[in-house]
Amino acid sequence: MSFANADAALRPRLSGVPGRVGSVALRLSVLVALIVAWQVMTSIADDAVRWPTFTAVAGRLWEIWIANPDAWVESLLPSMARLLVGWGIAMVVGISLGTLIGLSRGARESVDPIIQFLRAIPPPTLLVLFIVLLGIGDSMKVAMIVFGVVWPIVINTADGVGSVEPLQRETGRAFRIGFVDELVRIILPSAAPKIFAGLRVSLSIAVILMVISELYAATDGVGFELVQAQRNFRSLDVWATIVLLGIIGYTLNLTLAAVEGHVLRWHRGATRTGG
Amino acid sequence: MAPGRDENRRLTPPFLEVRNLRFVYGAARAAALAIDDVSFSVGPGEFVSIVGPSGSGKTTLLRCVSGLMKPSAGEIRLHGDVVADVPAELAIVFQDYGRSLFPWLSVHDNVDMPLRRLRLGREERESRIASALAEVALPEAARKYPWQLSGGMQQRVAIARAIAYRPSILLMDEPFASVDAQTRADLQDTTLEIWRAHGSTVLFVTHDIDEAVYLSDRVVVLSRPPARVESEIAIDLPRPRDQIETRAALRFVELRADVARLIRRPMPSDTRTPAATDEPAAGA
Repeated sequence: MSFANADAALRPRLSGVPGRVGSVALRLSVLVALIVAWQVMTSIADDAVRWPTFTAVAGRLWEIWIANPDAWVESLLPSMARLLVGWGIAMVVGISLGTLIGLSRGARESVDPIIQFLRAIPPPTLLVLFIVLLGIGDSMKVAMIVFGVVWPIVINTADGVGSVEPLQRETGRAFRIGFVDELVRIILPSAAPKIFAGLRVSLSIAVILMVISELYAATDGVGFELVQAQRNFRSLDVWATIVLLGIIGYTLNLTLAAVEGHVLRWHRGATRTGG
Repeated sequence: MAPGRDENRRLTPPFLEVRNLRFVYGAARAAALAIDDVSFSVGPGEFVSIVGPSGSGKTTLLRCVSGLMKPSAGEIRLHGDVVADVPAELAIVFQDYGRSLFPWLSVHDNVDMPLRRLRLGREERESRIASALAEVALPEAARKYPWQLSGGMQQRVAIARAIAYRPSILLMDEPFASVDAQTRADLQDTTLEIWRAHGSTVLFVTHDIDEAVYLSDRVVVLSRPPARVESEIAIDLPRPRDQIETRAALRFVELRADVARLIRRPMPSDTRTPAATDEPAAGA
């Protein structure tokens, strides 16, 4: 309590600080409660192979992943590279394609059924096809991530670009700022809240697809290690790796949320004041 | 361009000329005639207002003049040249400041946006932004965002953006319609000061008769839709004008009544005589 107040006094401009500290404390206490419950129940169950305790899983996570530089280089790095390259390509392709589609109402209406169809294909089923087309290397894995995550970005970007306030574009025209400036300084910033919504959805899907692409015909990566652990009956390693994947997904989300919070500062303020 | 075509035209073309402008919304059976036939001209440095009943196509007219909309027939000439796209020397202040300012840009960057195109030096740009914000009495607001300001202040930003651009003609589309009365009076006086300081031409659309008479050298009155020019009234009130003195002057009250009578005229006039105003008309 006194800590929160001192913090608020030191940073008077961040008026939400005491509330934020409070909500972080609440979230942490729920997490701690769950961990304690996990520890107690698994201790009672006393089945270390199928239901390891939290301390056992955390220790193993530390041992085989976090404090193991070899695992970082050989597994984590390839996985993260595939994920970020795939998501990055999807971001560039998705925003470009979505902008092109969004700029014309006709394009939006004629392309929409095709996009809805492509989006409806469950990406994991494409694994078989992509292996046939691209082999079992990194390009197959990246292609699968790109195809699986690009649609939310395309749809949200097209929606955002298509719903730019007409008077804002007209203002740009009235001052003859030219198409490039109109695109970069009016259309894309105006569409940014929706583009970020698409990026958030696609990032979660990218983590899923990264793992799935590494479950079959892979030679490295976090998903590969998961299958190896399962095949060799190392159940503690399976648990530790699942927790690792959770941490990866959560960290990526937090990072993107931080970037979004920075880029869209104006949007929070503008929507809060109803303008 | 072709002197002598019209016997009333001088050899030098008027600064701004609207000739036989016609505008039809939609097409075929759904077509609606918004502007029938509107002609008027504006001299350099003149302050001209366009008033008319609501729905009389004032905003459509202004958009045609700005080059944002293409007239169905007739033409707009600036310095004698036909306006096809938005002319480089023109700036617009829209009614809806909330939607014409960019919420992702600071006040400074909003004013800067049109200047980027002019390829000015950095210092020149900064000094234009600073002096424009000073002219609209917002020197402290440069780092703020538009949504942190009141409505009246936001419209001041929109005016600053227009004047920093140094247009030779400034179009204003009901710019003060959505602010309270006191703010409106302040903004009117700011507009007059800017107009006097810059010597630019202003074409001002409003539905507020008092506002039109208070601000203008001349008021163009549009008829009920489809719009024609009902009349043009010269406003021979002395300048500088004053919110209290000018509005209390007998001449102000007379002019205001003249304009009001023209606007209230019950049927679309085909007699083009502004003097005959009180004839009872058969049902429209």
